[in-house]
Amino acid sequence: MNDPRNHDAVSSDLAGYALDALEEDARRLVEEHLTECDDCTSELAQLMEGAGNLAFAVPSVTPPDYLLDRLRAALEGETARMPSESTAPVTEEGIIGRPGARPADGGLAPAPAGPVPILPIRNPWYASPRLAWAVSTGIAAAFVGVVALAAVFNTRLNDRIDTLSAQVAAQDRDVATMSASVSVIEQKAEVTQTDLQRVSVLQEAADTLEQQVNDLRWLQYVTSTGDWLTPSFFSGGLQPQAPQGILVTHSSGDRALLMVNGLAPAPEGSVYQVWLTYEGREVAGKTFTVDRYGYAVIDLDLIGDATEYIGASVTVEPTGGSDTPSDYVVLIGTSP
Amino acid sequence: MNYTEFTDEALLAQIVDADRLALECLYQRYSTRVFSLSYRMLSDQGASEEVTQDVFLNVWRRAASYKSGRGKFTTWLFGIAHHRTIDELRKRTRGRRHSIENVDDFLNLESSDIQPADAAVANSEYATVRKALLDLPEAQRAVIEMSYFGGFTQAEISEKLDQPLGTVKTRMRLGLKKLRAALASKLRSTEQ
Repeated sequence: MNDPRNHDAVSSDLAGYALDALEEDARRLVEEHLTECDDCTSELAQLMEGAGNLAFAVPSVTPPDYLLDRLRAALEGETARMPSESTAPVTEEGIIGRPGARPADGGLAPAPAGPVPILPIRNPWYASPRLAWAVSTGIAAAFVGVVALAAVFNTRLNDRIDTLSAQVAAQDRDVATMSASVSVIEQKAEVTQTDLQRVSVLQEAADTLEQQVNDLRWLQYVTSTGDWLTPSFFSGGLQPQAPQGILVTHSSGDRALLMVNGLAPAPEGSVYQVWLTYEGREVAGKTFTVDRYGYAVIDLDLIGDATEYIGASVTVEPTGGSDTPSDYVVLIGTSP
Repeated sequence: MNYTEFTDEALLAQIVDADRLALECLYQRYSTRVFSLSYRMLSDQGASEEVTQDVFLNVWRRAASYKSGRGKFTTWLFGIAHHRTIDELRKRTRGRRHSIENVDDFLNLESSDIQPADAAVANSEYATVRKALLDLPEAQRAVIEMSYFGGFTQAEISEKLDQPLGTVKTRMRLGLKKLRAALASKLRSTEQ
């Protein structure tokens, strides 16, 4: 039977469990409780996911090559030990038998002879090799739906420009009010379950509003500067939260404005750099960094005949910029 | 069989079937991340090698216990890695509690450590998570960093920060939830 008092006590320890921050006794209590409480199991899964992300918060250090050989040797040892092994390994979920699909005698399938192939890591989108501009029309096609929205987008924005300022101001005030409420609750010596829920709701609402404020500011900026031509849409990938950008060219033909959002801060020692693409060549543009929301607006000088401009991209480059683009493209797009 | 196209979960299913090449593929994908975490927490290459090897041996032994419904593979893997590293850290510091005023001691970027081939990817992930951490309220970030990277228990953090234990627990919980929300679908692991 699940004791509700035990539930409350354990529930408040779940984050500590996820962070390996409990004393042994408390840890054991949590593990016992998890066997009978689906709510806590479910919440722990969410907290563990938050904690798991922290493994990425340290700089990358490659292990020595010989470590893989040592692992192979250790696996050989496992192979030799397993048939006579009588005690099954212990997991967080208790004692388990050897994985059922293994041979009945507990032995291991023989490894193929010959060298083990080096298996490349599947790269995320931002690490993929630089895409040739000849291929970029394919990307443009992938975003044809977005580009088709451009005309509607502009018309609606022009109609709404007068209301944007008021909305931004109102939402700014709401964000400030919510942030203040959160701070007040966090200053309390003891926080109740109700307080906790209230803080979560307020913080979530404030985050959403902050994002809306920035979207509105961005759109307001685009539509208030006048004489800008139909924008080109840029994307860093197909995922819903991938970075996005809009590049607009000025009617004078010698300026362009690139606005980006959703970009993580450039890695230490690096900056983002814009590349403008003309027929058969790419011209280095300005370097830039982004604010805490991943936003930046970059004013660019176009060269020559603006009609030759066919697209642009953004790459990660060493601080100071480069003469030729690196392989790490974070945004790419073509002129409509 | 071309393992490069396999998801983590599919590789794990192969491991349950005692497929060593599948384990090596997971090793290729994640050993750097596991080693990096351990190395930064322990500052000891030899111990970090031991931890990394143990982690993948654990994956081999415990593959069948992974339940995809309870979370992503990487959450499970990094949970094993962190727990093993914390054990080692506490063993070393027992009786002479380490003093960590600033977790940036653990997080300082040393460019010489970074291998060029994967540097941009690793740095992007690093930057993404660091940004999410920096976006947390300072009080929440402090307790998370002290526990996760410093190995302090929540009782020790309460004492060190002179804050009620309940407050420390609440901050940990809120901070982890915000981190999860901020990083959903932004890291490599979510693309597998």
